[in-house]
Amino acid sequence: MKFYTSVILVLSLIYSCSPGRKVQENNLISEAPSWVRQTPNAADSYHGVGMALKSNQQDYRERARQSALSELAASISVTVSASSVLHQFEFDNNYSEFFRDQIKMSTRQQLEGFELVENWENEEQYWVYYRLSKTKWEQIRQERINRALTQSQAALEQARSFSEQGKKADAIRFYIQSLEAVRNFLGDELTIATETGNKSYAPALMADFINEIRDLKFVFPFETLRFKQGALQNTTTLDVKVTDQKGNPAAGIPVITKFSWMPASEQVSFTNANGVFSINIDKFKSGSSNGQISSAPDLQWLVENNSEDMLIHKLIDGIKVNTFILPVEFIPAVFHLSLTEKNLGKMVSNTGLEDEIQKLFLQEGFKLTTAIDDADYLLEADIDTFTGNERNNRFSTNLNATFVIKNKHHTIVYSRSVENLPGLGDSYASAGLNAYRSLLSTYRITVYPDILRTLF
Amino acid sequence: MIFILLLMAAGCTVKKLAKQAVQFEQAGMFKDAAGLYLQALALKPGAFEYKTGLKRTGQLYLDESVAAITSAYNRNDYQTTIYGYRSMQDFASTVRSAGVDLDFDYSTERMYEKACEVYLSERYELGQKLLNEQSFGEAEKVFSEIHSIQPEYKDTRNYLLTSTLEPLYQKGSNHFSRRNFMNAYKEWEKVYQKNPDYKDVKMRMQEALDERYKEGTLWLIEEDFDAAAAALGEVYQIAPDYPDVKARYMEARNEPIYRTSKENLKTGKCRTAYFGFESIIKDAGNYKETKVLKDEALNCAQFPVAVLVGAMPQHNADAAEFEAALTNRLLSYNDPFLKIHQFPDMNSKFFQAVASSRSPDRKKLKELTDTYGIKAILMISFAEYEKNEGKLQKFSRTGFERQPVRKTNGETSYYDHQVSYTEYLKQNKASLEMSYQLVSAANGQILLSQRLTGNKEDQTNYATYQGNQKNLYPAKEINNTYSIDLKNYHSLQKLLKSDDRIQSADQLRDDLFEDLSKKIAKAVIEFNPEK
Repeated sequence: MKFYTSVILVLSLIYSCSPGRKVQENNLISEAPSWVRQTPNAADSYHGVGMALKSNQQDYRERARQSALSELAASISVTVSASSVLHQFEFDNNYSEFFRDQIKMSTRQQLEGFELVENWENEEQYWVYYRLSKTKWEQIRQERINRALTQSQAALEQARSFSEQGKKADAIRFYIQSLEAVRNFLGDELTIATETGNKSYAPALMADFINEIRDLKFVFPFETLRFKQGALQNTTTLDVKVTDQKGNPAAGIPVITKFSWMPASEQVSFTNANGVFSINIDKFKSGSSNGQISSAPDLQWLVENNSEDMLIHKLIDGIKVNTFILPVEFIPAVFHLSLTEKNLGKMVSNTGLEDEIQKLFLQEGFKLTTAIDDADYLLEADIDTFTGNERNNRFSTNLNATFVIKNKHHTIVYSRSVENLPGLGDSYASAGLNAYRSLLSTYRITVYPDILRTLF
Repeated sequence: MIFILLLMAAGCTVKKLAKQAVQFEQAGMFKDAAGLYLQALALKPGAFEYKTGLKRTGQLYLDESVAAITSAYNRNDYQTTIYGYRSMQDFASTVRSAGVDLDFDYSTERMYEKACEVYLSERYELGQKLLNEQSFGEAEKVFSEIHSIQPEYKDTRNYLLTSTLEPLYQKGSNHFSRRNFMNAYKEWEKVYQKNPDYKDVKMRMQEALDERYKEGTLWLIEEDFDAAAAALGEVYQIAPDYPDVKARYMEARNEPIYRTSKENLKTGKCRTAYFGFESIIKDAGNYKETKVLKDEALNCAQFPVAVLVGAMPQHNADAAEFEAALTNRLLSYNDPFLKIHQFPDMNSKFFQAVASSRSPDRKKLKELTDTYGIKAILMISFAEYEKNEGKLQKFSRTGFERQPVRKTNGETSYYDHQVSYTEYLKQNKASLEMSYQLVSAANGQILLSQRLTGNKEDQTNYATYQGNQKNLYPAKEINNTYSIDLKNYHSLQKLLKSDDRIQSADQLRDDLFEDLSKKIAKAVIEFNPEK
């Protein structure tokens, strides 16, 4: 019995492992013309052969046509000339690939001059063959280049004119239009005829555009901005002027501003008719003594708002703009301490509180002074202890404290009370001093962070 | 055979995997195809067709990935570039582990590096911003991502630590500000466990303990012992070596018991006081004067009881047995207060004095108290008692011994031979009806009273037969003629196998006395004269 079961198992395994029936070879295209079986490769033309299945497809002719034209367009090579703008401005290989893809896409979209050579069909398939003469294509292409150059030069003229008038934003807009006009030929060596002979066009246009951007100059109202820490209670505005190198105001320029003490934050503003834009500085706390405000023309904004062409975006992305920096110096706030420390109504010293307060301020980079007039802030602390209970020669006290901070004008800017901090000891006096230990912890953990949050 | 089957099954799986791989490859799903070739190679390492399949599909997938990465890079989508590249690297490394090297386009490496440069810088700045805004959870995600891509990127490690620990540190501070010191301690402890050097966390943990200790001690001073015990207990659990904490914790736990016990001792509730002092000693050792006071309470709580056992006419020895059983049982509890006194010489005199009259003889009671310090009398009275050792009854019975006889034709018939066997019967019994009373020696008050009855019986019934017991059948008599009783065969067999042993009447008595004395002793032990 066991033997038979095993034999059946082995047989079923052999059956399940055996390959499926071989599909019979399809002889459907055996009678088709030769271009169906292999795309022609005559050197004088570009060729494209396309096929679409007829089954369940109403538009199979159009699908076959698109397929053929795609093949035809793909066979038109796109080259990047060594003297093209792409080479001159040191765009990397990845960019060249991107550029080629973009050009191929537009070549396919704008394909013209091709001719239908033949079509062939059987019950299931529809085949079509298109051809484009290389000579004809070169002619079409040259005409396009000429048209693009004319269009681009016109925009360039306009851009230069606006630039002369100090209308920088408009000038940039026309420079972008000028670039857009020749975008399909940026890999070619575009030349224009001048009085002195033929001249390379696209690199010159690009250089002009870059100069236009780099011509902008930002004039800050100070050489260095100095902030007293904690002095900034509200938003402060700083006006910055943007001009060209001749000092003419640049209106309508988008500007992006970053603050070194606020990573990943930026402000975007626009210059007004006088070429002025405002930087708003909010209350802040900096961990270091120096920082900087950096502003630069927002080239990305300019491009995105003047062109939808990805190729142009990518081209201009690579341009480095000048960034203008305003150094900022953070001047530490100066504190004066005035502590009234009592234990059971009597003045005491050496409780450790003053040392703790000083240590924390100094750690944070603040300064301390003994002269009230030199201080930005006056910290007044009033502390006293009161008797609590007694049991088995154990004594308890309660400590109350108030912390008040006044600014230079003696206005109270911070106030906080601490009540009923316990103290323990073998006498009320020692219990009172013991309560100061709790005050030290409470000051460091609770009060001091609150002071920093409120003032800085 | 099993081995052959297993080999065939494995071979079959490999072929199926390869077949599926080809289908995926034809459908342009190169990654899936490569995955299947990898599986096939794992089952059949080194197989040429699977290795070339993996090389082919793996390379195609790699080329697809390169195209996708390039496209993402050109779109300035640096995140996709980075993760695409990493995924591609993982794939190539998996394929390499199967012994297949793929051709790598190193331009993607440059793209990856450039994408990292921009993307990580942006993420790093975002992380810093989130930290500044105290969005620690979000910051942690950002720095974790950077860490997973480039662990050594700038100060990522520190920022990651800060984004993880700072929320806990601040949570602790908030608890401390609200005077929830132990919650603060727990949060800071979490920080400490991850990084003992984080800011001043170690000092803060100590400060939280200090404050909680202080809180507990203050409650102790205010005599809020429960709150004090809770606070000091928490400190003690965490830091048993914290100065003085154990003593104060013990004080908080035991002072209220100490005080109550002292008061109980003062008001004569010595037994309750004793238990209070005892629990303190168990918990805290020698707390204040607990040991002395415990002894005092024990002395005061002594409860000497005189056991007076009434007469059991004609069974004086059994009455003595009962008294002995009761005394043993009472002593077995090792009750610290109960002291048993017996007065064998004066038993009947006292018994009559206390029990016979309607009200107890105060004089006699006073005599017991004054002379022997007796606080209560346990009086045992017997009403009816019976102890019967039955006689062994012997009955001669008629039966049949059946013998099978094989006939010459092969059939079996039986020969029933009339015989005699003996049946025995015996029954022993002990029963008692009694009552007990616990009477205060101070005033004759009946403290406990109960009537008890008990009964113990045992019997034996068996049979003996000298011949072949298995073939023995009982007989039934009809009109003075015996015939074999097949129906009761099993009953007789049971009697033949029955045990002939039986508990003696004395044993039954002992069991009975044990049961009853146990009930009485339990009632006396549980009796609390202070209630």
